[in-house]
Amino acid sequence: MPPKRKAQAVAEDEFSWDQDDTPLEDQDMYDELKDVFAPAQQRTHMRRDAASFLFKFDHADAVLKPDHASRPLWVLHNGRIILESFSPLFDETQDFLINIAEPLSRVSRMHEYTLTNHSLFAAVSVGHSGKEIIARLEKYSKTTLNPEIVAFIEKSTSSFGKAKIVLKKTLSYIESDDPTILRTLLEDGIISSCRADNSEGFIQEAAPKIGVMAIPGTKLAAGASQVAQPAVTEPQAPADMITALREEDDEEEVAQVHSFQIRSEERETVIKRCQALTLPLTEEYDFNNDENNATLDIDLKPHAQIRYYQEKALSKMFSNSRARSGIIVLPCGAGKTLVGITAACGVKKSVVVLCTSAMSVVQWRAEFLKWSNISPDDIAVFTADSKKTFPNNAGILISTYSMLTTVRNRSYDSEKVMQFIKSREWGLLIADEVHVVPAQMFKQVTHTIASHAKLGLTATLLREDDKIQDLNFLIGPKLYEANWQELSEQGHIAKVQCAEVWCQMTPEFYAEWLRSNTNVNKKLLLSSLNPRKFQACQYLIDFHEARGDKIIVFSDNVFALEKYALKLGKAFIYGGTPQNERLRILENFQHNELVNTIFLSKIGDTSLDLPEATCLIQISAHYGSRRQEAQRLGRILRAKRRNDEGFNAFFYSLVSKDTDEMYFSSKRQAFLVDQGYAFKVITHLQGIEDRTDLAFDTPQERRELLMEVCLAKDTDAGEEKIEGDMFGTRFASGKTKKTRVKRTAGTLSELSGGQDMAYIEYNKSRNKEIKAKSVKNNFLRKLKTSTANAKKKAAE
Amino acid sequence: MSASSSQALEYLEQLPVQTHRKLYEQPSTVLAIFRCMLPQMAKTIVMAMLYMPTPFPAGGLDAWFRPEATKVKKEALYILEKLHITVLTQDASRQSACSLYSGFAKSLRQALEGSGSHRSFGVPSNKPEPNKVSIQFLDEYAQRQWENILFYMVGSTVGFGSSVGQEVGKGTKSLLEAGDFVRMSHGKMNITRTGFSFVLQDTNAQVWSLLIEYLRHASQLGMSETDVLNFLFMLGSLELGQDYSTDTLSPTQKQMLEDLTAFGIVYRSSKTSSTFYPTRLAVTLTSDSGALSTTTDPLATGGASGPGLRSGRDATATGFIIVETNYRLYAYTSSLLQIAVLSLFTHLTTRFPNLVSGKLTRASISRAVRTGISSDQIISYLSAHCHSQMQKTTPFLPETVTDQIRLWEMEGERVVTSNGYLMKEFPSEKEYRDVVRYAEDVGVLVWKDDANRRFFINGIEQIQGFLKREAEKRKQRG
Amino acid sequence: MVKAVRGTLVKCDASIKAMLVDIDNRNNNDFIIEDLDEEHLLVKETKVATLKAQLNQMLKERLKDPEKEVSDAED
Repeated sequence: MPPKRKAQAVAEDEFSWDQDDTPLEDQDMYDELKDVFAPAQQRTHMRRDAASFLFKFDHADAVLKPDHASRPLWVLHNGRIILESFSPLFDETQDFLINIAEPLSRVSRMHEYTLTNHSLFAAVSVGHSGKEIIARLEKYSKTTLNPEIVAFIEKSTSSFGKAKIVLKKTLSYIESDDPTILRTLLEDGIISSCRADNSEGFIQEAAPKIGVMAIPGTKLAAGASQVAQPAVTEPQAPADMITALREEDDEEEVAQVHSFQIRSEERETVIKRCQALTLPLTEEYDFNNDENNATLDIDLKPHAQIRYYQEKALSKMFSNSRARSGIIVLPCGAGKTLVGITAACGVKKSVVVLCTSAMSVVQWRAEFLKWSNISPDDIAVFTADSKKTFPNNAGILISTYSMLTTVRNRSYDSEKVMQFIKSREWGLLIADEVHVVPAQMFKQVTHTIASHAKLGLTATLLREDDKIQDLNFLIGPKLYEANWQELSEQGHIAKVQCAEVWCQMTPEFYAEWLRSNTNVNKKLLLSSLNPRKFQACQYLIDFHEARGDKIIVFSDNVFALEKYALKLGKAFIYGGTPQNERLRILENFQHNELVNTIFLSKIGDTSLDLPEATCLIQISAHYGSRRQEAQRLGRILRAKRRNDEGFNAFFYSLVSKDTDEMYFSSKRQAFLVDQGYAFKVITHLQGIEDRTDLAFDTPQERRELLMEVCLAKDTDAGEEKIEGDMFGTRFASGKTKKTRVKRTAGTLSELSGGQDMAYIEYNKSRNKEIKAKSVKNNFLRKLKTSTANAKKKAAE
Repeated sequence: MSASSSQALEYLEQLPVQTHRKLYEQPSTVLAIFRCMLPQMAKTIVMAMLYMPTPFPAGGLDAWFRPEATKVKKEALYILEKLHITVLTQDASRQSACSLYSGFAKSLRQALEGSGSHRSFGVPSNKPEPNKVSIQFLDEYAQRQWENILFYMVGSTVGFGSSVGQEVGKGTKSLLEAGDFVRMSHGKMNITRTGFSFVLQDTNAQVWSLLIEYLRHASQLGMSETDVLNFLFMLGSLELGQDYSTDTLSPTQKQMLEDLTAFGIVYRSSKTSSTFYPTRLAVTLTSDSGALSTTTDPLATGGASGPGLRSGRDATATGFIIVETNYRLYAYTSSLLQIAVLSLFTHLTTRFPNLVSGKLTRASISRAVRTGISSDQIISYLSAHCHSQMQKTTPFLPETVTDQIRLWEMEGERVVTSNGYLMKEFPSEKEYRDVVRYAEDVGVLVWKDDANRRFFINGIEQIQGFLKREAEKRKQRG
Repeated sequence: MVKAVRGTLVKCDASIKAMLVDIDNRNNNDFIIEDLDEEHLLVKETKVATLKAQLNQMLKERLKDPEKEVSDAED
């Protein structure tokens, strides 16, 4: 029964994201950890004056250094740092801060960072000492550093990154340069019970030099004759700043490292226990000396050139000739995939790549073939449609998170692949769009895949809950985060003009909106299908198509998406659109001059590579999700035309006035605004009132639309449930439980002016309308038939 | 003429002729008005006529001007007439002639020649002063006193606590209230829109604004308005650092000394001292350059000051405020006054010895708007004090921020109402159009709806009259 | 015959108008004399103050509280 099998395959690919992101069993422990390392919230001693009450953070009594004007920054007691970007010392200070602190805002003249335990953890793990961090901050600070922050840095750096867990010849060791730390750990009953060697002392050996690993695709690599040769070499050139920073310490005697072995099966226990003991372990992979796992023949092709920020990011990952687990944050379009591929070329062992959707699995495979010399046979794709493994000892496997974590029954084929994955050791796990994966799920992934190193890739390390912190423990610290404005000025990503267009609600829509007080879904639908917004959208599409732009219109709500697309005669893709049809539409958008606008549901938010798109219009969005806003903006950052003289991409967010959209819109923009994007508010579109050809021009048409909205089923009005949808309601609304609201009966009779129309008649006319719609070209006609077919199938 | 003395001129213009005549008895007053109130052309006319023995035929005046300069001429003559400096007379042959008012001319001649025994330019004290004070001391004193007043207005609004305004005298406080610079509401003192405009002005203009308020209330306090004005004009002619005798002052003027001391315009070592020092605020009152240039503004450059008011050394003339497109604001200042002003419309969070930072938020702006501060005032304050780094772009402030400040202000005004009458049910299109046009012409039309032949007016009388006349016309025709 | 109706002209956004109409409905239609167009209403002069007060109340209840964004906006 082929149809049934197909249905099963789809089900396997899908994953119910509706389940609550239940706290990890050891959530309490994480929380405890967060508290221990939180910087001081209140200053204990300070001088007060009449204005003190105005300031949550009053440092008026700090000692201003006499030459403060030539120093670039201020440090607050809670770890926040304010940096002057116009200081002559800006460049070196910024390079330093990105190593030790999290960027909060990098707009233009003043940048803000914050020191967190995780950022300091990351700093220590790439080789900064607490002493050095304090000394350099003191050097750059206009005021004398306050004791609270000095104490915080000392405390964080003394406990974090002091001990490492290393895999050597697939055996696990706990390693540290300070034997007292190892002794402290072994005093703990649980850890000592996990020890594998029973000798009294520790294994002692010379610490690996902080060598410069030749990152493939860089000049350094081009100079080396054999890239494959072991990377533990003397520094050839101070290629990265870390080397430069370490120079001071070079005079010290040759450092020693001490270690003891633990039983590999107790790895997880030891890692957890060390976290509880506030001595978290760093995870590093000495891939050069891993003789157990087969080497993968993979290298970058000569034409693959790594950009400076990609190199900076990768040098953090590979700074002492081992692969360090962590997260790299680059804006969409800045070449995250290439960073992942380069990392794979660096490790040269088997690699698993996990993506959010089957569509991006296809794209990752294509990118691997484009940038590296890997043989196509060595890449296996594991999705609902393809369940393959690679034939040789080493290879690359690309799959989705849901394929690996689905709890439903697997088909025979996929069970086989799962066994294959579980049975072997992996050199590197690349987790794409890592921010969207629920912690619980990611934990399951890391249990399933025995990987030596993990690399998380993302554009926006943002979640509306604070679960993002958990990634620090599950993957590793953030290794690098790029500056959007800098990349955009240098032409690596497109310059974007952002605008928020305010659309008045029509009185009849607003009256209904007011009546639907408790029906959240209906209110959403009313705001999305506000006729004035529809007209604004139509106006902007006309305007930008005339300019020669390629336009993507985003709507989270499928009912609205369909309504807009059909009314305007444009193609649309949503979760229910079959894979081959999606590809056909995207191909047309890319190459067909007649298809300049497509409508996408939130399946288009991530991983869709559409370099042709130059204009983006958002008509409905997911509450206050800053991440979605950034992801969507990312769709136009890789615009092909970005380096054309004076080129600008456009990002419009259409907002219905006096609805919740206004409130959420400012929340959504918060992240981008801190990256330096300025949203211009447009209250009136020039000349829109003179247009008579816009949709819903007459009150009659508007009333009909309103009735359609009122008759829409609750499920239509609600959120789209699709594969790879990681934007659960629970994140953005700040509530863990979704409030299901029943649609109230009797709305129809309350409709102003609609009393004379009968329900059945109306329902018919809507069907008729859809069928009667004249489809202009072949492509769209095909699209429509297949959509209808898909629906029929789904109904069966 | 500077913008700040224009306030003084406006005040002078509305005084009656008797007051003018009395004022002109003092050579120092006449010189001050001549020097800093009159436009250049008016000065030229006065100088030309000063030593004329007889009135000058008005027709002859035209010969002095090029035809294209009529506007300048008119302006000059208008002011001279308004101030009753020139007098138009008719001679025997009924020809109109022009002359200077004799009292004005006499005083001006005395002032220029140094003749007469009027002592109106102040009498330097000739007693040896054992505790002579320095100019620096006077500057600091003036700055402290003046800042205290400003701080009182802003600080109380912001909620700086009970200590605010302790240094400000009762008289000054009631003057500020009388001038509607501040207003008591619910037992709390708040700055008004006028008050905020006042704070935003340069120091010289602020001094004049307060003094004009003082003048308005002088008579209520039993003081002679002429004496007050004469004294102010005299102060402008004094020399900084010199002490002057109080012997030649009138009772009103002696009373004034106390108030001016409170403002920081003059300094006295004690209430009973027989001498007084003018401060920089006084001697620049009628200086030719008008307002103090910002670099000499005592508020910007003054040295050490009182313990409560640490003057911002970083707040230089180049500006000190940075506003980013994420609505964050950074101000290089430590002055409590500047902090208080900023906090009127900014959500401040962080302070260092040389920097405060915060954010412009919807809440902080709408709070300011509710107080009566307009978005334009906020924007002009921010752009007037932009840091040099901001001045590299035009406009200095990010447009999205200024737009948003205006939008936030507008959010508070969701409905606009006007009282009046809805006119409807016009029998014919012509009649409707006639009446609507008439309503528009007389300026009472608020809204119209041509399709339904109806409109709204905020005044009915004229329209009623018009309708009646039209009806009669129709009757006559019919 | 031409008619003159005494009252207060209220000019507002369409959404605000919808709110005003809603308030009027809940008050026995005692406020609005005539619904003029999308952005204009004719209201009884004596009721303007009450209507404005109720509108402000409604805005506060129905739209997300703008003040809230400040509290958590700062670190």
